Amino acid sequence: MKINTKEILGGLALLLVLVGTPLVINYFSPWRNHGSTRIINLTAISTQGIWTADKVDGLNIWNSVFKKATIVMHKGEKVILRFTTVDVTHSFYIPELKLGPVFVDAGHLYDVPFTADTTGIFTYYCTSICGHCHFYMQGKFIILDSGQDVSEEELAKINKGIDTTLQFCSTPLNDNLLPKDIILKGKMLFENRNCILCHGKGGKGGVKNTNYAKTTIPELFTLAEKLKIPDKETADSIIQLLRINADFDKLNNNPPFRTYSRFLAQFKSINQKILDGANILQKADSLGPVPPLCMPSWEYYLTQDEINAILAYLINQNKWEL
Amino acid sequence: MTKKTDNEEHEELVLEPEGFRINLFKKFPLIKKFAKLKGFQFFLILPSLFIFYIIIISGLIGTPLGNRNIAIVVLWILWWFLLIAILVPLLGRTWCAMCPLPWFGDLFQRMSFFKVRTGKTNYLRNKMFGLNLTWPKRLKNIWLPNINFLILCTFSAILVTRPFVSSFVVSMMLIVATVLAVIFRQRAFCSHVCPVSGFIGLYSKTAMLELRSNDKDVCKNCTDKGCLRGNENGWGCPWFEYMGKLDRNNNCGLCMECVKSCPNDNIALNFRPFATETTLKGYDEAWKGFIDVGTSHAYSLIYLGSSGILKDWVNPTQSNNWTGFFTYVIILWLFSLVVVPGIFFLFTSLSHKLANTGRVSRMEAFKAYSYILIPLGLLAWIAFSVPLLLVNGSYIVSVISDPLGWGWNLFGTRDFQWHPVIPEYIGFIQIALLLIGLGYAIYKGFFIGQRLYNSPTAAFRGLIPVAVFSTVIALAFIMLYIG
Repeated sequence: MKINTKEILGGLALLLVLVGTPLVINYFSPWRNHGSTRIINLTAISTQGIWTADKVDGLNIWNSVFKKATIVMHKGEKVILRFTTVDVTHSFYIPELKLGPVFVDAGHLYDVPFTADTTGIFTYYCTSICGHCHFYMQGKFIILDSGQDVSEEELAKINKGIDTTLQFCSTPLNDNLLPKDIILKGKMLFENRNCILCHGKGGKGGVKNTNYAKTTIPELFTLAEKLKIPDKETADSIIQLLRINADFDKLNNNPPFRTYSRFLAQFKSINQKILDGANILQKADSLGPVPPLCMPSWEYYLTQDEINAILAYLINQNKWEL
Repeated sequence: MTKKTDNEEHEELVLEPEGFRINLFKKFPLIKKFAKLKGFQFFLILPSLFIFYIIIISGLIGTPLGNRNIAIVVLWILWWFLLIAILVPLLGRTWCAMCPLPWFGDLFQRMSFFKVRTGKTNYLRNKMFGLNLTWPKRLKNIWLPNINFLILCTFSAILVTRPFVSSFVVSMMLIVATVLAVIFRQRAFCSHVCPVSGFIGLYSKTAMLELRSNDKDVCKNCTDKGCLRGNENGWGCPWFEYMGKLDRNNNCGLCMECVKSCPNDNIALNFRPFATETTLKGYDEAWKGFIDVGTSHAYSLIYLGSSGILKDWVNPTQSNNWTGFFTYVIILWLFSLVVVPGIFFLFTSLSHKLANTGRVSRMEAFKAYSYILIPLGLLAWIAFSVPLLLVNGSYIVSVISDPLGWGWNLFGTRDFQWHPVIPEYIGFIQIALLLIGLGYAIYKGFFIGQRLYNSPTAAFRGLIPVAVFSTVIALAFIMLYIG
């Protein structure tokens, strides 16, 4: 049989393209580690509110739910944290370890060398408002003593709080689905617009904010007291006023209850705080890291009706003495 | 411009200038030498296969971010612009000669890269592998490419934003092309299925390049018919064209097999004026023009416009607005397939009435005049594509260094920032392009009318409604671009 050199060369060239291309691509994949230092790949996905260590690509992004990354290291270990995002700009921040904020914009990879110096369980945050699930972009960064290990059960326990709240981020709230009742509407907004994550379920508070002068995020179920509302009856009448979107300033001329002017001043102040947010928080240690959690401005994300509903819900949360 | 007397009408016809023809094979013998190479297509296709292969891989495993993935940036910004603005108007179906999608089918049928097999397969004198069935007669037109193109347009927002979808579509086209090559003769996929081929085929009528026989008489007397049937020097035309009768670019894939197989060395690669061919053979071609005008209007409105609602409608995978999407589909299909042709029919009916010669039917006038949508439509597509390149072209610079969005920096341009180029002039460029298209539409419309009515006066009268229609179309585009 006559061997045609040109045909063989043609075949080899085609083979080179078909086989060589994926091989070369795979060799230079960021998920391959060519050095001795461990690389921890962290990919931010805003729609799922997570940093994940899973491989995210064009094929799986649209039909997969990725696992929130829980990073486990050992004391003294050196790693490279490799950050990327598949959508908008994010930032990675662990205030207690003074790691970051690392700003990660679309289309780039950021390698950050890190050495684990102290043991403990730390929380990482995203500090760039990145979408509907932004406040859920938290996870655990665990540094163990060398030789120590952590079981799957223990990891599940550590992550429990984060995983349970994630349900409120999973489906964006459609305005048409909001209930008519102002209290139920307020509850749904409080949960779905992420207030719950920092202010706790039912506004019970207690969420730790690293290096924040007040240590934890303020609770809100006592809002009625903060507004100087004297009793349940008055609270109900305030809720009724919120329901009909009453002009509180006009009512000042003929106050519906005795402490109305004090209430109005507080009410306006809190309303304004919701609109403006509070980006600069007082630090416990002035030289320490910036507290990672802060109140964002809701001016362009909540209507006054929606703010009223949230306030009505929180006022209704108060436990009145009988 | 020459004139002659028409005996029937006793009216002098204004003859359309034939225009120049420069045989590039004579002028630049190197081109002919390259075209005669057995590996002509191999050398063109292998690099494009490499790029398309990277596009497919990148769509699957690269970053899901469209503007950082070669699957979107190179395919829908660079390739699309080069195709529509450079390759088609200047070089016709040159892309088809280098397109990697039908190549595996070709390789299967030929079982060789370079060697030409002699033998007998149907009417061919080449040994071809596969079933070699004849393509169904009913589908020997471009209706299927028309529908396929409309389907692609319908899902365009998903296609151009999700690398995986682009990768999937390209892969499917490659698979379908290969499967059809196993079943049917020659390039059935390219001739009768490929949505891009239908698009290129129609607009390549305007191209400034043509492959033709030097002397038709030589073809008439040629008993070999190597161009069509193939011989030991070249494969029979994969597009079923016989050079002795070839007078349109629609189905010439510029594969150059005829240059190799012609025993009389009678093939010329001519450089010619823009928009030389002005005949449409069937309603499938006319409707291709309507679809392209309809879709380019829709695209301009959706992608270059500012309506968030429309953008939500066209991309339901992001907005979840399926009602909006189906509304958009109905509007797009009705507009392209019914409304534009319907309005055009009214205008050509009026034209027919004004011309009042009784020589041709209304439908003949409708079909013939629909040619004017080709120069107008092509220039409108170019005008639509200009901002794609000028505004988003800078992504190409960064993506060639990092095709998969994995942080590579192959050529040191990964961090090149997005930077629109002369955005303040884009509107003017678009208007200029549209006016050129309009000018050609009206200019060619006159000669089409004269061909129909055999009288310059009737042609002029008949031209008025057609010119009004073209102007309205062009103005609508201008409103969309700068309004």
